[in-house]
Amino acid sequence: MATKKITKLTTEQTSALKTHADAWIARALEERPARRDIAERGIRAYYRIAGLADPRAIVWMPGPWSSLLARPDVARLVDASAQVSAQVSDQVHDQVHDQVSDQVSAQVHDQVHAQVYAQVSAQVSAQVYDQVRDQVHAQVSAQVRDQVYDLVYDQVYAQVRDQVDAQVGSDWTSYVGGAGWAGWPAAWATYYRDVCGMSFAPEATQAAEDATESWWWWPTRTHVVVCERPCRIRRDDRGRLHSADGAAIQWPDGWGVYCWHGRRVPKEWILHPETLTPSVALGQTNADLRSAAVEIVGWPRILAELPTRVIARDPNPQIGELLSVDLPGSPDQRCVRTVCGTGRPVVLLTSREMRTPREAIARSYGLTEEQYQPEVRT
Amino acid sequence: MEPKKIDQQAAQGDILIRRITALPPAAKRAEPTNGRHIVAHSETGHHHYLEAVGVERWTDPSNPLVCYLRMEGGPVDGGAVLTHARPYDTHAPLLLGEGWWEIRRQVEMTPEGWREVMD
Repeated sequence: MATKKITKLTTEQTSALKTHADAWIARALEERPARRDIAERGIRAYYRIAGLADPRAIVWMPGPWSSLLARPDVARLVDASAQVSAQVSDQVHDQVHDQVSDQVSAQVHDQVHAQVYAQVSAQVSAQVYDQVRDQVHAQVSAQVRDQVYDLVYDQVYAQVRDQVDAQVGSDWTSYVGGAGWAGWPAAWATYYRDVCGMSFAPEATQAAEDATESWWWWPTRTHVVVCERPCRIRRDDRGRLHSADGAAIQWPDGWGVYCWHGRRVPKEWILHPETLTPSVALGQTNADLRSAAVEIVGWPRILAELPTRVIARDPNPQIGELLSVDLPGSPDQRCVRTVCGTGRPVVLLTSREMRTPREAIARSYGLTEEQYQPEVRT
Repeated sequence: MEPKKIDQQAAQGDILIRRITALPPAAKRAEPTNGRHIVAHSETGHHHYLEAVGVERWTDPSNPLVCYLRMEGGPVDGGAVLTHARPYDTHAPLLLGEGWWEIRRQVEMTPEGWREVMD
């Protein structure tokens, strides 16, 4: 229960905000096996706090993809036997690839994720709002929760979730986020505990902290499927998933996500960049993918391998230059090589009637060169 | 990220925003979705949107690449902030003041013909 109410952070507490956030970002993204005893302690505490019986089995899987495919088998095996042993994981693994994803929803039943997660969050949240003034919590939220959220959830977790979602669709449900959800509530709840010396909802705070030891976990009334931590995480200097020589994030089962400065790209582009020819890169229909492809290929290679010609150049780099590129099946393809408001290189395909890069960009918005006069580009 | 206030014209990624003096007669009023006006949808979910407070949105039935906004009594200087919902390479927010605005989507000329830029 409450021991004191914080109305303002001290200088020391304020200066500790960044340190605390950075420590949680680093902790959430550590490349190492999960300390399973800690994770399982946290998961069991979630059940206890929610007033649920202890799960009969906690089954670890070596990655998010295999976790999702394994869920129906785990459910079936746990239902079939109250004596679930460590062999379950092996049995499941052997059968993973025989399963089809639409079995998951039908077979994994009696999920309690909302009940489990809500109780811990509610306890921590209720206590903090009782004991910390709004403006203090807003400060902590902005400098701890949001920082961890930005670099762990947005830049890493969401990319992986989206990739898995693209493969298994609506089956990607009913989970608790583990390390990917470190920003809520573990990071800020432990700030109040460790930096401010507050003692509220101690069991819930500890459970939240322990449960970030793993990645996703899927709770049901009888059992939990838990995803191991990634064994490899590579990011660029802005914290975005990025690797030029392998998966940007990868799990022990080999499944991973390939990214180029935060943009998910086909695995082949990274592992076999020789297959990504200039024409393939420039022919991408998604501008995001095309700019990534162009960056991977590199303009020197494009210029070296394809006949190109500069038609016109604007002194403003945000306008760029108009090029003629001979693409297979599309000779004299015109494109504008420019940079967008974020500084990212962008290639915009255009028509052969264009005489200047400014005219081409203006035309891309349905305007004349004279009408196109942005005072700012972001 | 602090929004940049614009006077007449600005680009945010693949959309262009221009101040206009009046609404075209054919424009039709559009309702917000979940409290937001999405002015440019992205297949990857990286929409450009405004919170629907003090903002009206209008569409042009003859041109899906254009829509219009009317700002009046919005939360920021009578206007509202146009936000790009992408966690990386985010195009900075723009502050659109009171009055009428036109939003244009960018297209490009591919070997198959003109199509929307998919940023």
